[in-house]
Amino acid sequence: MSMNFTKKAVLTLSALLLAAPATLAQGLNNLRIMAPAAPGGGWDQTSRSLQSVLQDEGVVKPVQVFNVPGAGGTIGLAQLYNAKGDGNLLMTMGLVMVGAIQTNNSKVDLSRVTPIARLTGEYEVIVVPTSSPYKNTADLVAAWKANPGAVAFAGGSAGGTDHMLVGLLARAAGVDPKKMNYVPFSGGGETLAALLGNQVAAGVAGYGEFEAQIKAGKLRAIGISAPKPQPGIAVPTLKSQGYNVDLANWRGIVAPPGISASEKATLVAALDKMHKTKAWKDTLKTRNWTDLYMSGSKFDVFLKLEAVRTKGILQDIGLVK
Amino acid sequence: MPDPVPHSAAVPSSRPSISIPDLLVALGVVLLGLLLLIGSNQIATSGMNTVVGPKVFPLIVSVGTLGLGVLLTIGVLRGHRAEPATEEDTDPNAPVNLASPGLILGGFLLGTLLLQPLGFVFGTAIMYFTVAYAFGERRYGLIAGVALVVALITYLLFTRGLGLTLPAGILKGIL
Amino acid sequence: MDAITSLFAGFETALTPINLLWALVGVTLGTLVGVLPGIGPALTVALLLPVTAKLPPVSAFIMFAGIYYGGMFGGSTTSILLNTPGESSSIITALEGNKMARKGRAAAALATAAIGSFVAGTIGTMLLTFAAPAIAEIAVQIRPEAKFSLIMLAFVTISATFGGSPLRGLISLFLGLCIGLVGTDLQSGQARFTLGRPELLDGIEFVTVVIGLFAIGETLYVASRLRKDKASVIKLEGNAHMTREDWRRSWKPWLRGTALGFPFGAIPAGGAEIPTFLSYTLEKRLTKHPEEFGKGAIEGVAGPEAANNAAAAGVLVPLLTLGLPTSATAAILLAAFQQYGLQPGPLLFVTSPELVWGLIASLYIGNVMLLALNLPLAPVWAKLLLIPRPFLYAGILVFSTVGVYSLNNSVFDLVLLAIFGVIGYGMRRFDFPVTPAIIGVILGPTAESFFRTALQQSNGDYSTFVRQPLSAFILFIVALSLIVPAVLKARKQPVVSG
Repeated sequence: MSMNFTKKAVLTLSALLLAAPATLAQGLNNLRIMAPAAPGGGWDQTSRSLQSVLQDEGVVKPVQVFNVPGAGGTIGLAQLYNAKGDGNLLMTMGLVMVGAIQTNNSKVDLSRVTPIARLTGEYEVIVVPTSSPYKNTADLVAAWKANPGAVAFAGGSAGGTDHMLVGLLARAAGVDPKKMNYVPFSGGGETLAALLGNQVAAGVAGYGEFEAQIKAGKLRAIGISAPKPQPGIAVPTLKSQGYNVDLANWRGIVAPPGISASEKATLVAALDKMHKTKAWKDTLKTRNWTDLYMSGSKFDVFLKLEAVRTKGILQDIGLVK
Repeated sequence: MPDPVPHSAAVPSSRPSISIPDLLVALGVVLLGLLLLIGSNQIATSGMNTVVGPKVFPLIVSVGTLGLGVLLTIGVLRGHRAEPATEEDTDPNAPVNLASPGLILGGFLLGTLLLQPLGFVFGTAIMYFTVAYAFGERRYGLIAGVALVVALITYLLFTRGLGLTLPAGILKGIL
Repeated sequence: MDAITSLFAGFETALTPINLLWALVGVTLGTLVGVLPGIGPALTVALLLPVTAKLPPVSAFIMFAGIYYGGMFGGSTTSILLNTPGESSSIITALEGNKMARKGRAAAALATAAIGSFVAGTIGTMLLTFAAPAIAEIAVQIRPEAKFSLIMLAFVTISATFGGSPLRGLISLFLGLCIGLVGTDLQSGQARFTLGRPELLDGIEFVTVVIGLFAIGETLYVASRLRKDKASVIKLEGNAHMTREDWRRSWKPWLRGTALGFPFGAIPAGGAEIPTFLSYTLEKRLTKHPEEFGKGAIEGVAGPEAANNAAAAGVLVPLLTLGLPTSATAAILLAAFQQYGLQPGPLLFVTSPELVWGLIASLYIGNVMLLALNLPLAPVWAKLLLIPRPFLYAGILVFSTVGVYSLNNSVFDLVLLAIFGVIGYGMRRFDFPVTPAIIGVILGPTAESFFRTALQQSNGDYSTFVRQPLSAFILFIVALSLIVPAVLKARKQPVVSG
């Protein structure tokens, strides 16, 4: 680290000390972030980006990231429960974990953890092969309604975000979600292969996974799950096509259960500060992550609603009783 | 690794006795097949539209295991017996010594148990020590020294070199 | 040619001192992690992602490519010397390679693996340079029906190839299939055989099974009947290097292995394992020294090693041209591209030609570096076997343990490792070959997934397996290889005993 860097860090720190109430400065000099997934995945990358911004901008020092992979993050969640009351621990999580808790019949859920903030997200896109007769979502839905089993959708594993989106679209389009033909693949690569090989009617994944093929004209994007058009993405929203579907594969941060109100306030304030830095904005830009920041009581409410909604979708698809 | 000698050769016609250990293994395979069959039937089916449900492959595998187990049992009852694998470091004529593998296993589980409270270095050093001891090394000081050095180097290689997190245990703060 | 001018420009990028240095760092690191069981190139690249965010993309990818190829080279070393495969693609190498090493020919085995890897890597890279887009277009057309049939072919050949009798080989294979069933079913989201343990929801890591059955099982077994009379070290006899005879017996397997490996790498979910199995079976059939197979036949090292390196090059074809990752490492490399805001795929050659061609050029350079690094190292590595047995086996056990533990930081995995160790001991004691079990663990879940995907895509039409020409053809070969030996056997001797 250069001199310049340290100086900058000291300056930001002192600014923070002057501006913030006493609680803010306390207790946050040794933060640990758990990524409940293996290195390289979305939660791991989110945790590590968070770590570098928090450290480099001098919001918290030092920050350590560790991985507890397994079972859609629910193994990490169980460990978070064991760390009850630890105000220096955070865990990255997201929609996938909300779903995994349901599909895995996890003994622990998110009702007792301390929500801190929602950070980023990615919208889902529905694509068809270029040679497909379907030009838009209405074409696809018409064929789907006529014979739900004959229109195969490729996407990620059963109960994941991709599957949820197809379930939501089925409901919005008036197709019985239990009759739809969803072909799960273990990774975005295999979904892509099935599409490029014309083996399925349509495919679903996060926009980033298909972006290159969409731009190169190898796949045709017919709808994106965003509530409103996204800058730089020339794909019509599903809403604009008359299907009331809105789904983001969001990622957020929670703390262990049982931490004090002031500890929670300190963590929320640190993330609020982190969110405002230029370094974080740059990270979002290079990683192509959509900023879905939301913290404090808003995120508390969102998390509760999302748990209810997810359970409903999974019941619709027939994965959860 | 397998012994290329066909085992029918291992059964002299003058001794048509049944090998009890072989029989137990064969019945073990049958039991595994049965347990799998029961387990396969307990798999919940989801309400999803799946052409081939989650039970089909487990059923195929359990029926296959069961069938193979029955074939193996029949073979054993006819007097077939398995020839233990021969390897460069093993002596087929040496009396079978179950104390050494038992010791290694015990040391391994002890090391596993202590991995988190004592830390990675001591946990793996215990494993190293018991294996070397079970293989007949009796220079205790030497084994202990090598065990600690190997464990320490491995620890540093993985944590410093690759950035993995391994439990530091009682050495926390020193390493 | 367009490709040639681009390639030269690529060499200009890759041959700058700083990029050469990164390539060297990459291949060294790759060789090192390949040698360590459990830690593979995928995990290494994943762990290095944050570190390299500060490097320019070209340098970072040159290093990653070095790690990737290096891991493939290094994986064979542990297989040959310690009978502990570092990577799934080096399992087959252990079969003959370790027997060679035990006969004092470790250096020759390591040399044929290194040269074979170099030959396959270079040919694979050339195919990548000149034919990538065409190959990728064909590869995505391979349907799950055909992939399922291919695995059936692998199962049939494997159960006939390994073990004293097909029955014991099959039992071992089915044991592997059983292990592979554990975990959440991808297609329906239902838990299977998890015994209520959340740790088992993701299935059992194949590394845990491999290391348990191979390394721990072998340690327990050797300890139970230790040879006391002979010297406690393996003799390094003459012929440390490859003799003329070795060369003569190696070059064809290298080329055949390459021909098998490259297309499998390019096929989505093809993987590096199946071609190594097929290459081994092929060499066993074609060899003029069938009596040496199972006792250290050099063809059995040369072919599979070439196959896995060719597959490694093949994996880059769909990754670079279509943005399609076909292996775990490729998926991590894709994440690395995205970290730099780049999208591999058809546009990458247009938007970042410097990066792509620099990367491809660095693959040639990396291969040369790996050969230069590994050939002189072969006799040095071989000296590892001079370590007295108590220390050698203890060392194997500790390295294996770290590899397994660091995957999930979980003590539960170590308990599983001990269980598989005991199973591995029992398999050796009761004459069950270990390799088919491993193959079952790797290919079982894939076979199931292809089977169900094929039927799901066709909405339940079972005839899809024989209506696909490629799939029908492979199934025909499977049927032949089942029927022909049985008929021949029945003609020779009327009574067939199991």
